[in-house]
Amino acid sequence: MTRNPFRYLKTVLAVSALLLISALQPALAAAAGAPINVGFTTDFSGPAATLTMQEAPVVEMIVKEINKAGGINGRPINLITQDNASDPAKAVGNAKMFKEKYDCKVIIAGVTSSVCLALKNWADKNHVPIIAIDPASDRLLVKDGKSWFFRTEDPIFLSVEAALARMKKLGHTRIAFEGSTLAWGTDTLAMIKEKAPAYGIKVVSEALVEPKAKDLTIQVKKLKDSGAQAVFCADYEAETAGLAKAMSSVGWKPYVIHVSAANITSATKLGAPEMFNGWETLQAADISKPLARKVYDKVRAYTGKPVDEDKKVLRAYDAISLLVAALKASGNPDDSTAIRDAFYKLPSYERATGKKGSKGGFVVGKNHLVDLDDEIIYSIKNGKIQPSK
Amino acid sequence: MNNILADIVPILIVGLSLGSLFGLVGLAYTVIINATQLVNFGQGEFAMVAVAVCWASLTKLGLPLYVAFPLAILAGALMGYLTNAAIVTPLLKRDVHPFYPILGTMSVGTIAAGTVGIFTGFYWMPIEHFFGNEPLQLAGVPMDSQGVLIILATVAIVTGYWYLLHKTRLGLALRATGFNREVSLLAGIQVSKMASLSFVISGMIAAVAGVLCAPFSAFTATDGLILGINGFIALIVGGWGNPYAAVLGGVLVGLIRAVIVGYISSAHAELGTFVVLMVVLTIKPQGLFSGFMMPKTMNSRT
Amino acid sequence: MLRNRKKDLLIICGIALAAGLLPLGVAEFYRYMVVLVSIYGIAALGLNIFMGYCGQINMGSAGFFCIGAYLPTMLQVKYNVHYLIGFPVGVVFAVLVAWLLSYPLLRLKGHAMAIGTLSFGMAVFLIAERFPNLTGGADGITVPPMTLFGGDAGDKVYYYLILVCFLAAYLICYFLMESRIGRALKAIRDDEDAASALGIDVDYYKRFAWLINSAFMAVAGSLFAQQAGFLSPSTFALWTSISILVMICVGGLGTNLGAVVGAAIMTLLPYLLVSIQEYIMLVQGLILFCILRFMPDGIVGTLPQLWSRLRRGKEPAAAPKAEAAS
Repeated sequence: MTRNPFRYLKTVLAVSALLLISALQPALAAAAGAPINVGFTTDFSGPAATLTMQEAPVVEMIVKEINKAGGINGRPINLITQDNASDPAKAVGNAKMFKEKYDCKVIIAGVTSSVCLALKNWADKNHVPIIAIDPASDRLLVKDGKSWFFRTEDPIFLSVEAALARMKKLGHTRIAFEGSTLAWGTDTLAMIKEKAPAYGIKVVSEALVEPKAKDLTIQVKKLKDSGAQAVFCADYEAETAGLAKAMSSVGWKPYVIHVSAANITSATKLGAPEMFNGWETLQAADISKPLARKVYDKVRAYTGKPVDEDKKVLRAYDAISLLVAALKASGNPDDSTAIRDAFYKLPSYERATGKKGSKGGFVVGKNHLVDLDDEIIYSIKNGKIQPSK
Repeated sequence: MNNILADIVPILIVGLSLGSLFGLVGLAYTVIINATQLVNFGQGEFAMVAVAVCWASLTKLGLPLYVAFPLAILAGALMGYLTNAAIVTPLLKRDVHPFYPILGTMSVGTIAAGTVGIFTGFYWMPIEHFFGNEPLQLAGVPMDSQGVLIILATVAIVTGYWYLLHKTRLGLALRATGFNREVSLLAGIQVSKMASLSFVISGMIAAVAGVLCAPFSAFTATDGLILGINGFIALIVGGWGNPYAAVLGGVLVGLIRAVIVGYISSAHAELGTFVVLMVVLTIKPQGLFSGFMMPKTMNSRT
Repeated sequence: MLRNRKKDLLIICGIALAAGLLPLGVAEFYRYMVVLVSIYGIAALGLNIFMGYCGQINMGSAGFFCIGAYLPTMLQVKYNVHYLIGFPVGVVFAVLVAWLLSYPLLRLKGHAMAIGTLSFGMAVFLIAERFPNLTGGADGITVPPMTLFGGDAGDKVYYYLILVCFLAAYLICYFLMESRIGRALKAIRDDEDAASALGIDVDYYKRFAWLINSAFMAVAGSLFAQQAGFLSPSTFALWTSISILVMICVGGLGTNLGAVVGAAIMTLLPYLLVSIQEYIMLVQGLILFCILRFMPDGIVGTLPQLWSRLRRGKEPAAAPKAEAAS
């Protein structure tokens, strides 16, 4: 059978054509009111996808709003979304694609701390500012100078301090810890053990539970038998519901404080809400303030679906709004460094997270938005949270 | 004495209920292995789809549990039938790498997970405890009612399967097909129907397992995988090709996990399960209980 | 036979040249795509030797991928060993581990081998997750960039390193396929007992294929670590082992070109589907399903058949003539 010598010619021609077109693209784009490309990488699949379901629409909504109002100096924002499935390597790949294929000068990212750690390293190396919505890890802190990585979530040490202060106020000095075996849980436990003595609190027992664990009865019994007066919980939604079920199974109703209001509001939907009555939680957001309520209403109207009234939507709102504000304030949306510097030049930005009247973008020497006094304690009743007295 | 009892009983109960769950999934795998010598890597997704159907019936259609549960079992049966018809049977007819039908079941599983994910946004599909959250009190020890349900269901299903296999002609045909496909064909058994039936039964068992354990920890579209892996471990630890061994293997794994959680640390439960797996693979690769209640004629060829 | 080989080699060199010249003309992003495809291509080629040519099953290939990625990185982070030294050390270590494991694993048959290799893959993943001293734990670890002559080696050097590795891997597989070793492997795949009866040392060749598989996976892992810049155990979970398997099946089990084509398709897929992120899982499942159902020989395996069927359709008159002649 003779080989057709032209067989490969077609392939070569096709490939060359593709290469030519893509090489020309940047030139074509630079022509008219060219859009500003903003990369958005988060978990659309994988264990954290449930968070993204609440947060991604907020990002899209704000971008659409800005574009309707004329964009940034007449240039629309083009949001390019990619899934990283909680895989740091994929996330860095997304970032590379955003920078090199779409010429993005700024990126917004979501969810897991390990992904964001990888992104932070990439941002530092490539000088592209990244603002992230949810990661809590203290390894993302930048304590001096200007950072290339920002986030709107309160870091672990802040929430732990606030929770410990609350427990001390209520007189619980012997506490148990229940948390995830994943990094967030173990980091929180380490932070608690480090700070608890300063509040006169002793951790008398601990239970680390792997994701999707089914029955926590044995763990809860151990915590109960250790004589703990209260439980500090740092676990994800399904496992928190499991904790509540196990506690009601064993007949133990201690004081429980959950370090993430976002997780607990979802957890109350995964089991009988009465099990969580009397629990407390905290978040660096005052959900009763006018701006917060406005955001909730807007998101509800945009998605047509119910909205969890906690910090999830608010921190997403802050992240994308700060990004847009930085683009505007940079004076040159095509300059990454100018955009990064602009994050520090937003003193009149009104925050959706934080306490009433909380204002201002980032401050040099701190790449997270909120402070200890932004942390507000909430109590849970019938599946809803309201500020504690 | 009372203290020790109070400590051990919860461990035993949790271990038994979790173990029964793994055992049920292991049994589901074995049903297919017995009839076709294939491993169904989409097993976990069968359970997840059933949970999805149950949840949708309960919350979207407002149906009562006694309607939603059978619907879910039906969904599991359908998944089994479709998997077999769409990919397993066509592949078995062709001369391909022996791994292909197994990869095929996995592709169906992925499609199922992807589809359910799109419909639910990968969000949770919570299902309430069947009999409410109040724990059962047996001899002063509180027990989760759902856990007891799982144990009872496992006993019922294993008994039913035993009855099917050993007391009915259909069961005889199933066993024959698994032992020797060609000879069964000669004997007039419709081998392809037996294969299909085994997938359907497996789907139904997986559905029961999934829906019964969903109240413990709400399923999302991607949670079929972990259930499938745990069932697979039960299968390997217990015994390949032996349905009773698979269940026993599951129970053993569940009990060991519970003991580790109770007496060592909850953080090491996964690692512990895995160590058990490694130990079994090293000292008795065909499974710890592989000879249990098995006449020689039912063992697989490995 | 020789003419064919010359043509194949010319084509390979041509593509290599084109890829080598790429940095001069095209956006960095396309270089990145070539890098990714090369890395997974090497991994797929390795797995193909063991599963496609030798007909065995390996469901834990990510374990060697993991070792190849972490060892040079940890050596660099902890003991300041240069990447170019750590790289071969990692590969040698992986091959050593593979050699030790070959004794218990390779005598298993079929499902047992699948389970055994799967357990190995899971074991490596769990160790990487639970031992932060060894691997930085579940949080992950930053990979220090490769340095050359005192400064950062830079992307270009790295690009050429990967291309050279990929070319070498492909050439090795190509010549292996044509050689006596390749024929022995194929004989074992087709019928192990018959091969043994013909005097082929089945154990020896199986082990050989297994070691090549692990070596290639380790090489791919090393290269992957540098390009990712950050390692996290979740990248080496079960799904990675399976996805490489899917690559070789989609491309064409038992063909080198198929391994590379499969790697290219599955790697580029998420980037092609930029606008429909939620559908990626479904699309991946559908692709695998359709390939298995309708094109079990994979893309590279099925296309020649389609091509010849098309050509036969164009020349119906030739057949009766040939018949008349004979």
